[in-house]
Amino acid sequence: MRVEHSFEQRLSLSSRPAPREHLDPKARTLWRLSGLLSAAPLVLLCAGAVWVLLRLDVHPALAVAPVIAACVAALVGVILVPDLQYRHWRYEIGEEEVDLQYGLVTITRTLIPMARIQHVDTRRGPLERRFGLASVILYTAAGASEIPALAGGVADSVRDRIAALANTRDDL
Amino acid sequence: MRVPSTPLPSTAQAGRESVTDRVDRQVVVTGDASTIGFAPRRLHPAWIILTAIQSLRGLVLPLAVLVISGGRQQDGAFLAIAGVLALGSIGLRAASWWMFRYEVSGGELRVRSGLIARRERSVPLERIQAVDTSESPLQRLFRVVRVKIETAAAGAAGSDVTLEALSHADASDLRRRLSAERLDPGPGSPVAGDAKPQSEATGELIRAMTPAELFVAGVTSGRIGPALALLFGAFQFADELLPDSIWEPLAMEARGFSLRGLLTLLVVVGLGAWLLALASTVLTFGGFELRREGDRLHIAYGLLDRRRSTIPLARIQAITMTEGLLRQPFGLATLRIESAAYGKATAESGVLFPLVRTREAVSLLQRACPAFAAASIDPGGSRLHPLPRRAMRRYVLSATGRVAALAAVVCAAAALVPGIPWWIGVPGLLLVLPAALHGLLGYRDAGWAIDSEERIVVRERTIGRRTIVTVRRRLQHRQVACGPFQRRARLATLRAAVASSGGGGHLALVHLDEGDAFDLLSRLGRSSPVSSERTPMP
Repeated sequence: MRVEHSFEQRLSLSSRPAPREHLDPKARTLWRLSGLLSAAPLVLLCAGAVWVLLRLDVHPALAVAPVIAACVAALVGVILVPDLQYRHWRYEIGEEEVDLQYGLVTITRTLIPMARIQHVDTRRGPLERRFGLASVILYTAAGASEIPALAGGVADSVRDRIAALANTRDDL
Repeated sequence: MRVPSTPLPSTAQAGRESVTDRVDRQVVVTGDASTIGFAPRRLHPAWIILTAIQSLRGLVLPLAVLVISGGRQQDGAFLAIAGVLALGSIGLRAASWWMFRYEVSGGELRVRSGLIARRERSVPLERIQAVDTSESPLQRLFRVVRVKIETAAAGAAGSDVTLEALSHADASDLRRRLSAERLDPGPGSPVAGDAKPQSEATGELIRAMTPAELFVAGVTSGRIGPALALLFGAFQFADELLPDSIWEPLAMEARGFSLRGLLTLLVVVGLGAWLLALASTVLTFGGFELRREGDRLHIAYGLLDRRRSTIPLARIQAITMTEGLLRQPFGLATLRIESAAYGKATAESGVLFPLVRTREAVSLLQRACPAFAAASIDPGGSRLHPLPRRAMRRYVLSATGRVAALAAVVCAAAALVPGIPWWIGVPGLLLVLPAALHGLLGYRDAGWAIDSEERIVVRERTIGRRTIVTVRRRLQHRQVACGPFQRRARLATLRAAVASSGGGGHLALVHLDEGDAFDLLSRLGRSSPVSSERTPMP
């Protein structure tokens, strides 16, 4: 009889186990805060819309709908999303490839060969600095990928490791 | 080893960093330049007149309006000011022509320009992705060509070097230089530049387009959209320009407005757009020639604007074959080159061959760029690995679901607006059937193959059918994504990308079997499928 595995189990059973490293636990707090900051204008905007709709004699139930929707979206964005993001984010810097796994509902696994990496950056935003976190950004000729919210020291060592492993040969 | 905080490992010399722009503010006496290697040269003096005419082009419309509407009263002062401005701009142009020089030396192409802020730019020859030559009728009049040197700086505007006017002799000399120095670095002896004007058709002719093919390509081009836009543009232009006395009788006649009149109008406009599309294809691709000389391809095309591009085979990232809706029933397709050059993807840039029978595609690729000649590119040939059957339902459902949702949104919006009946969106549901068919086709067309030489073939359908061929080592990154519904059905989406600034370098297989997807994710990697040695983080 075939054993039914959960998706998580199947992921780790596939020919390539899920990457090992997690982000810094402070990432959740950081994302909550930034979610709150980015949701605030939306909520304000919706409140404004309600005011306008009420003045236009729209049915009150219909008018309040946008602000409720905005509040729900903000709550989801502040409470649920950072949690899921953090739970799903994994990375690993192998000799040959950078291995990323992330996603909210859709889980994405991305592999970037070291030889294809053109350059690598670390970035610390004002909010990230507050938390002592940093992001690592990898650039290939086909776009950029980011490992967000690593502890500052870890981000630096990840960056240096990738820089050292990225092949010098370039056959673009 | 620690790398500085803005790390530019040596690989980072590629791409964005390859073109160094330096604004040199100190005054350098450039009058007597050093004469090492290929001495700095100026553009052809026709550049002054050419750019002056180009900048005048924008003034044609206002001038025409002025002349037509303003009647005869021409002001002396107005003319004088115009004259002074024109002279001044010619003077400025002449000065900037004088300051513009280019040279090839030390494995670099160097361009110096700028009147006040001197700009010096150098492009290492090994970073050059393609060299394009083109000539417009105007340039042909002055016997000059425009040479564009494409680099891989994706998106960075102005990173390509364009030499707007070179004499034929200078152009072929430059092309020779660029390729000669690349093969043999160091200041070699100057290659004797034989000044064969424009027909420097070198290399083995792989395929030329026959007039019949050109006609078929035009008929099936599907360029009707742009043609329509052009038609409406012309219409508006005429509306602005022509006096009302011409329009009014027309409007009077149109008062007997009827369904038949509307239909006739639609047919006439459609036919006009189609003819325009035909004409534009013929003009763009007329005299298409694909040649190969050693390790580079020469492509030449265009009746009015004659363009030639040279692409080193090593710069080709992928080949795509697109079968448009009008072309697929006849087994016809367009072959394109994906490369890191060609920042702005225009309709014709990067075309390997505009119209080819899908049966012939493999043999053409075999001769042009064998690295990409995968046998399974031919849809009539060997079958690709299909998607699992359970994916079919999802293709159909997602296609029809989108249409149904759109109809629902239209209904809801109509219900909210007083005066519009809510059911106005219902006829949209008629589109469900074509959508289902489209979904079914999408499922049937999708597939993949990997051959023994690590060529990857992926076929998918958006509107037309697109097959992309690339090689494993060209893949920049690859990923597998599993959505919640896909997880239940054990399906996954595989995506990968090659370096392509035109955005055509993405390949995707939606609703692949989950196991296959992860298997492919590994197989497309550099190392052997199962890499047990996994190095932990530092």
